[in-house]
Amino acid sequence: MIDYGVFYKDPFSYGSGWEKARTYDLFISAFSDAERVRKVYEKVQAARKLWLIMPEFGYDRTDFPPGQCYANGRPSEAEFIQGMWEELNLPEIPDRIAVDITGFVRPYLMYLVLWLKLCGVRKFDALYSEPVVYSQRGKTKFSDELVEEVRQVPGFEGEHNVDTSKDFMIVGSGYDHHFIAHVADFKRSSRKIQLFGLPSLKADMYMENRLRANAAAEDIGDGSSDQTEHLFAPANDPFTVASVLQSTVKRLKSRYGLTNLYLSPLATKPQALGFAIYYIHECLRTPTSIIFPYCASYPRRTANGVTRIWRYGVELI
Amino acid sequence: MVQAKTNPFNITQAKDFSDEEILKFWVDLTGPNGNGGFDTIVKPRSVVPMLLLGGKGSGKTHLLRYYSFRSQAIRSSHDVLEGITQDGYIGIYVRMGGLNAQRFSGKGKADDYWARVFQYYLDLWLGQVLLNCIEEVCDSRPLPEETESALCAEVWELFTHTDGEVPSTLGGLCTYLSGLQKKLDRAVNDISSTRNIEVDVTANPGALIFGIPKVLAKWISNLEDCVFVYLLDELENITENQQKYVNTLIREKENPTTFKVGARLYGHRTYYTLSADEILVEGSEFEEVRLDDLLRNNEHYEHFAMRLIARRLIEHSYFPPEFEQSPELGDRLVKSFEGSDKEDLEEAERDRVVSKFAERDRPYFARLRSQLSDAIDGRISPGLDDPEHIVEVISQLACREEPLLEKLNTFLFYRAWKDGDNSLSAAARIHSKCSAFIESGERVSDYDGVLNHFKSDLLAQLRKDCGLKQRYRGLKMMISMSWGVPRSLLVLLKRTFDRALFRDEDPFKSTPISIKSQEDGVRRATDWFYADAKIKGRYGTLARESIGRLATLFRSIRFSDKPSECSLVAFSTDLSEVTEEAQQVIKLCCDYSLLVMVGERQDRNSERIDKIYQLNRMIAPRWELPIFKRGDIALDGQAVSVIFDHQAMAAHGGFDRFFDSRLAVMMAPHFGGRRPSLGQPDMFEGGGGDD
Repeated sequence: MIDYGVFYKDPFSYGSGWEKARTYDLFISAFSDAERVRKVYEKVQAARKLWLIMPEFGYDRTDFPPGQCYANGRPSEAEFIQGMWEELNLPEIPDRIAVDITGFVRPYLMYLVLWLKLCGVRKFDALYSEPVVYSQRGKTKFSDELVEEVRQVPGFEGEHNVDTSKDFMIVGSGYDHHFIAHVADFKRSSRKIQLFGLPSLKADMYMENRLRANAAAEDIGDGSSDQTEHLFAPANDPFTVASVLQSTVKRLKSRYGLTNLYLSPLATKPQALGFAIYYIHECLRTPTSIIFPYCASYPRRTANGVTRIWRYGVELI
Repeated sequence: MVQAKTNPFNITQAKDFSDEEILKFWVDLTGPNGNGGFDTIVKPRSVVPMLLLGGKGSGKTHLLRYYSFRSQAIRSSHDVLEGITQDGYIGIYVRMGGLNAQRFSGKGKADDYWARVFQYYLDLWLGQVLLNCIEEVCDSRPLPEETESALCAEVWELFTHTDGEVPSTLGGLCTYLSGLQKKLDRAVNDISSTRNIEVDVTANPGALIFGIPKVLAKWISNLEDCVFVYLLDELENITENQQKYVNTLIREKENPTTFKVGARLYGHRTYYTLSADEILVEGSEFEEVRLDDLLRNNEHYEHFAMRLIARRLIEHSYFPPEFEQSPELGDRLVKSFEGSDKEDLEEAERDRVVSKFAERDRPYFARLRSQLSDAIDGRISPGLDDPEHIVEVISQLACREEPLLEKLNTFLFYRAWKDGDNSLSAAARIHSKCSAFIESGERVSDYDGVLNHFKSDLLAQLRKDCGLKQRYRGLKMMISMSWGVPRSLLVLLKRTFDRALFRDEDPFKSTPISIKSQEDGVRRATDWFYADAKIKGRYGTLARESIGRLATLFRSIRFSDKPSECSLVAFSTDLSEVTEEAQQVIKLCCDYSLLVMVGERQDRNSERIDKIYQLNRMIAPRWELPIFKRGDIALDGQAVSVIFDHQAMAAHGGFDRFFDSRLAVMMAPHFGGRRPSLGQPDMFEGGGGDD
């Protein structure tokens, strides 16, 4: 069993000169209007840098930043990431890869991690920057809230059992309670467990998160004490998220005899990274899927400023 | 240590029930004499396929699980096979959501390729579920080895080609099918990464679904006359193209197999089959049951609801088991809720109005006074030309101790004013009738009839004017609000119970549930129902906004000076005159139960058939609207389009601008001035009759 606690994670304050500690062969970032995404891109030292222009942000060519950009129409996230990799035309797998996960749409982020593994990447650094303040504080919207469909994330589709009597879903509950309601309804026969970010990114966000998630309480289901179980992991620590998932799934299997498992990371990017890491290490070829509520578009900017940079050393064993 | 009370209505969805609880909390739809029942609706022994449609919470899953093998096994735990024989059917329950069928699309492959893959996958899935059921049956009644072996060999022959040796046990057969399914899973899942898919389809469409039951019926004598019923739940979780395959299975079904398919209203996307341009024909090829419509219109629904509640309370030890059959069941439950079901101004409310406005004009008189003053200035009230006349009018209409009659008097006065009657004469006439009504309590022409007709709206206006809360309380009101959807009732009770506990009440035991707890519970349940309609994409926003506009229109009419219809919460229209976008939005609102189509009416002057739509009772309180409809308002195509099509709305200068002049006919002092030009008589006059 993997001990995710040994994975490195280092916080740096923005002005500390963190960028001097490492140089990379390849740096990938998802372009958005967020100041922290652009600033990190500028500061990172890499032989090659690439902006990913995700279609959900609705940028056209005149909005593209300087530097190498990759854009595509609206294929699936799998085709987008594969197309990006082909266009990079790398002669060999770089030793030192960094990905700024801050601006990514979560399914793209998760698929990228899987793709790196499939391409033979054994480790990379994931960077995540925390803002000074969210643009509308507790009322910040992280999507256009119009869910088009709920489905499995490509590459994270399990080999499921016909027996669905002991299906579980672990929902990484974020601010968008309608997301929670949609995924919960999509797999309504499964019993739900919510994972909350605690400590949260900002002091008041945990309470706000709980209040918003409560709006989806009827979909989550609270018929028994088992179904009101909550999990907690720091909102900015993917490795603790992975550990919590690992221990929870182990307990569900021994206590209930899990038939199928669905995972849905709806909160922070580090949380989504944690779900992806856990899945890639322990859930491939099992009756486990990651599902996600897909929106047509996302706001280009949800926060202002940058305080702290996290560097997560992700190992793809 | 104080033990926390469990809310007996906590579980509101059948998916949260264990198999045992499905039976424990099962309540049949029978009348007090035991007539009827779901057996007569679902007909499990019938080979005629069925489409069971219903809104969220209408009970489809509970119903299908009740008829499933798991429930049969529990009911006949002493001898499952014998139980199945007695039942005459075996229910193979499958949640279509478990197939995760959305992945059978795109990925660089054509639709017809995925159609073939999905067909094979569904066949493998259903085959496994069926064989798992039979394997469980044979655990307690093992088959002779040679029989089991021969059975497996015949199933083996259903494949076009196989790999390995034929299994000699059902368990081995299940493992083989599971292996094929997992292999297919792997191939489909890997295509995202490898872009290659190697799928070896080893059975023709339907071969396993129809063939395995025939083999089982042949080799297991107890199943010889048994109907194999595939209970396919959550059809909305497969795509339209995939549903065509299910439709094809229904059309081409082979005995002893049949299908009962459950889907949400919005989830059944097509009646087309895989045969080009051919659709399933209701009546000859399948039956369709709309569960929420059926429950809504069933005379036993209230009794069913009472027993549903009783069952929950019995299981949580509030009452003894025999309570469910008690003739006092209804009364006892109704009395567990404070307040009367009767629609009237309660004594406490009356006292509050009297004391609050002891030293000043009641709001409706203050408004009338102001309107009459404007009327005098504009010379638009016959018989009024002096401020003293206003005092006279108000004095004639006043009835200090009976605020409801004052409201009625004011309403009658507005009516007379709009009709052009002399104001002083009208006020005097109304005063006379009011006095006669109070003195004798008997019928007074044109007085008590109007009171009965408009009582709900007059009470609502009175409460709003005087700062009182609108009344939504009482168990029978909650049952009515649920309107054929058991889950709505359970959520109402759940939220009400929670509020009662919060107030330290002792619901269903020593204290009735207070009015305040009921009102809070209703408000929360209403909010939940409204938010629960999760329509995907941009239409979700359009539908919600449209419902908001419609409800605002109803509300504006309800609280106008002279409402054109009483208890207005429905409209009728000819859909052929409505824009396509509006039609689409209306359909979505119905599919997600925000609107309910409650009937049709032939237009008086033509052959035109208008459909009647009512705002769902569960959301009516959100806009302080009545639960029950009496009349409905006839809206022409343009008006409906403005409400439901934002482009049409913009083209007409916005919702408010379009309807302001039309609502003005109900507002003093001008009552619209002149009739609006709509190409038809005033759209707010002469709507539908009472139901």
